[in-house]
Amino acid sequence: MPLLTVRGLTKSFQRSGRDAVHAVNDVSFEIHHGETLALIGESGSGKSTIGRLLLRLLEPDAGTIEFEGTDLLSLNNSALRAMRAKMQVVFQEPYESLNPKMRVGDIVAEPLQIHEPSMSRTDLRERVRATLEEVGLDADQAERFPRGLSGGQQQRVGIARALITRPALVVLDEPTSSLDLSVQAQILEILHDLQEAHGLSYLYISHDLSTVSYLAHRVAVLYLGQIREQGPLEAVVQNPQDPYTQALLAAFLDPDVTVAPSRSRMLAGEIPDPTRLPEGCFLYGRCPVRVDRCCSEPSVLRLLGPKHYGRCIRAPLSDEDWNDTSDSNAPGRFS
Amino acid sequence: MSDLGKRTLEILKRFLSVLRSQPAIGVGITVVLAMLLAGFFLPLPYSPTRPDPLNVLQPPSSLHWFGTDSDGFDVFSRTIAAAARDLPLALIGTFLSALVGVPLGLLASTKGPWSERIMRGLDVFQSFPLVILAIAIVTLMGNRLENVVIAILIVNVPRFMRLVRSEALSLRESRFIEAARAVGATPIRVMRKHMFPNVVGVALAQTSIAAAQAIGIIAALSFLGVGVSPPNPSWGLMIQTGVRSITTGDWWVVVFPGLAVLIAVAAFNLVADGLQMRQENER
Amino acid sequence: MGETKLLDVRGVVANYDSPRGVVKAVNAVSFSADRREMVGIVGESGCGKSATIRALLGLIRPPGKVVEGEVLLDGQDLLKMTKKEIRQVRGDKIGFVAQNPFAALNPIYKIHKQFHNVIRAHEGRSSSRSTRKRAVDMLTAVGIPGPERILDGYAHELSGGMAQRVVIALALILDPELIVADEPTTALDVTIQRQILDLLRRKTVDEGRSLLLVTHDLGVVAQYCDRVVVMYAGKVVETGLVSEVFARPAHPYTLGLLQSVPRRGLKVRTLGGRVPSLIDYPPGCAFADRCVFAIDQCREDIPELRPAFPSGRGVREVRCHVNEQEVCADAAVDR
Repeated sequence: MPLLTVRGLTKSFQRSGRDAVHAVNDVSFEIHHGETLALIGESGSGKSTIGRLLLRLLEPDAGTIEFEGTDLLSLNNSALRAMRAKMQVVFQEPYESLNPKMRVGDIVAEPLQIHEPSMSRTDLRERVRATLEEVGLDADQAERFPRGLSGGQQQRVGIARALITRPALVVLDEPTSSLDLSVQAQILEILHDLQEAHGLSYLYISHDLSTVSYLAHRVAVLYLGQIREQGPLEAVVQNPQDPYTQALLAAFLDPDVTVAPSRSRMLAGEIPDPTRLPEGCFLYGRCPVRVDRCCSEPSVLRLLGPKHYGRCIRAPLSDEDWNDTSDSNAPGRFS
Repeated sequence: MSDLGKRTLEILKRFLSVLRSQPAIGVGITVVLAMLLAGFFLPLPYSPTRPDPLNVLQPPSSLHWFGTDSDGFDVFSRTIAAAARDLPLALIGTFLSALVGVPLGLLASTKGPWSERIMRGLDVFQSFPLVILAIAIVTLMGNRLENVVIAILIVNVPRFMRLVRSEALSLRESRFIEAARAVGATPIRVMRKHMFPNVVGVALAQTSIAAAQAIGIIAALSFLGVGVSPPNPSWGLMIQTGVRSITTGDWWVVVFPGLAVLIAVAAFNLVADGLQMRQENER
Repeated sequence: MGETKLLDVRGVVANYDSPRGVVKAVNAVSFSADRREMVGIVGESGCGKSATIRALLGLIRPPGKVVEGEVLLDGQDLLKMTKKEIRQVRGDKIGFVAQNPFAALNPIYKIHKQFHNVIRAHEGRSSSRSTRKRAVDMLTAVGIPGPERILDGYAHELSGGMAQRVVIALALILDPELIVADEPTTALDVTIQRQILDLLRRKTVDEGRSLLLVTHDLGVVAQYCDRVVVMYAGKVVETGLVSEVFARPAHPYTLGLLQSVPRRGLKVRTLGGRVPSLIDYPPGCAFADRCVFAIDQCREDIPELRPAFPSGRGVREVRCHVNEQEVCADAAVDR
């Protein structure tokens, strides 16, 4: 049985006097024990919202969330709070996510104080010390305040706080986006090692393909609150079946100088208004391989390969299908 | 060292570092403390409550440093003695206002219909000129000292509530508050351990400002004869008596108590400024 | 190799006074840019790349001060100019594109007014109609559909990508020789980023200008820049052709950065330690504490910027005591 099953998750935000923003539209996925599912997408894709819905930091408008066999949405407040010991989160901005008036040791100890209130002082201190050590921080850092730490250290504190109750699932919301490259590497390594050591499951939310490639086993590509493609990492990255996935992958800039940037598969225009979602395919206005029926036929996720799902009604697309389009051949360093 | 001992030492250390970073705070507190201590313990040359009718309206001299007033009271003794009334009143009134206003402000920041209702009620309440309201209430409720404190509460509790509420509302959007919820903290815990410590700084600065204003309110009230029982001295009352003497050129009766009010208000404002500077630096 | 360089930065030193001491933000920085060349300045936070740009543009204000060095633009030393002269140069000869387009655009003026102001400030009186025409042409050239409508609108009505295009248009309107861009795409979505970078390259290098691009993203440098300047702790540590530097890095820091890029399947190599304080500059090389190649000399003498790989292509410089052959041999191991 999967650790987490999400079906039909939907969320709209109503803004006073303006149209509702349809942030998440009928999203379904599973996460198994010990695996990392990455949600990858640009702004407006809904990936961060999904993370919060999962943790019920936001309430969904529709859908079901089943965690370890329990229906999360049916839990009352105190049962939900107790459940939080098993599903934790690490946020994007390291400093913002820590109470500036609390010492590091207290920040990391708090989850234990809440969920295991009968724990003795000494045991608590020992657990905090051990967890800090796991994320590479010295015990004496426990006395410091967040602003005395570097960005990388602050993020380690955030990870320690998330880990101390030994959760089964950790939602990682762009945990390295605000960090320097070298610091990012350190944090990724910690996350990777912790997953192996504890059999953690991660929901890894990001817009950066390189970090996703490092941690993820499976990946779901999001656009305007909808999953466009989902499957094992290698399958999606090596053999993308959706025009948006292809455009996204093509847009990533590889620091490897021997790889030329792909010039085709670019999408026209910009991300459209999330208050007015089209009838058929959400990608219609920008898609280089669209045909007439794309704008009227509702798109669904279909099985395209082993555990590999895609939404494009024209999938699988051949090279000829792509060459038929007029793609913008912008000159660059390699042409 | 015991845990309580460690905590106290910590608080002391923080207090000292605060003083070092903003010397204005230390200066302000020292002045207020000096006036308080003088008011309670300084041996006075003359009785502040028994006049000497033979020495009426004497200008400042070596006998009477601040001179005497129209009833024969020694202005110096009365000015000092009044500090023992006015300052504690201001401090008690202000701290009580904070005690009531801060939690109410935090409560008013929670989600739900009551928060809006409280604030609209407050809007109506604050649309009255509050000092006049305070005077009216005290006059109706009786000329007792406690009612002066109530007057200060009336003026200040709404201000504390608004300030704390607005600070709390913006705090609620913070990532670390969201993190506290994600970790499983109950709303009470969030308020106690996360919101309150981050609101205290602003509340402290406001307390000092409120104390400065409270001196003014007390002086104004006793100027109008509210809450005073002669012959007990208070600065406002002394100013009232002194105002009549200005026209005859006897300036000392009004100037010295006036200066006392000025210095007390300035001292509190210094503390408030220092606290605000510290808040800004920490951001 | 015959042309004089368009931009020649020589030994620029800029300090900032802070309560804790003097911050040596730009510590003897030298590099150059040719015409038709895109030079990437890359480094992590605190390396001094943004401060270098500010020094170049004459934007350093107290408590900061440029204390030494020359910035030669077409032979003229910008650092010796009066405020008035440098204001003329800014805009006329150097165009600037900042990270946040909404900070660069004035929120209360209509877009056409901003073009009008810039043109008037540098070229004297000009009719509204002629400035408008030029603005329309430029907005079209940067790929904005419906330029007339955009000109009559305000900055906040634009999306991030559009706003950045407007900023680029403003930077180009006076036909400058050099464009300086400080993290121009960091705040934009991945697919938009490609569009903007293509645009920048097309409108600068392809039209005979130089482009100085400050970024922390190695992928951007790898795929778009001709040459790269690597900075660390306020100093230039390596320069050269991108294809050369990224394939055979000469400086241990460059090597460390390249190895920090996460790649699936390969354990990411982390750079231990932290950037040193720019106030208490350690004796010797600032990177010595974190360097796996460090020898005794590294902790005693600050290395000079010297030629590297004399037999290779293009001008190559490195600031290191260790032989570059040793360093780049390590890079080959991972391939």
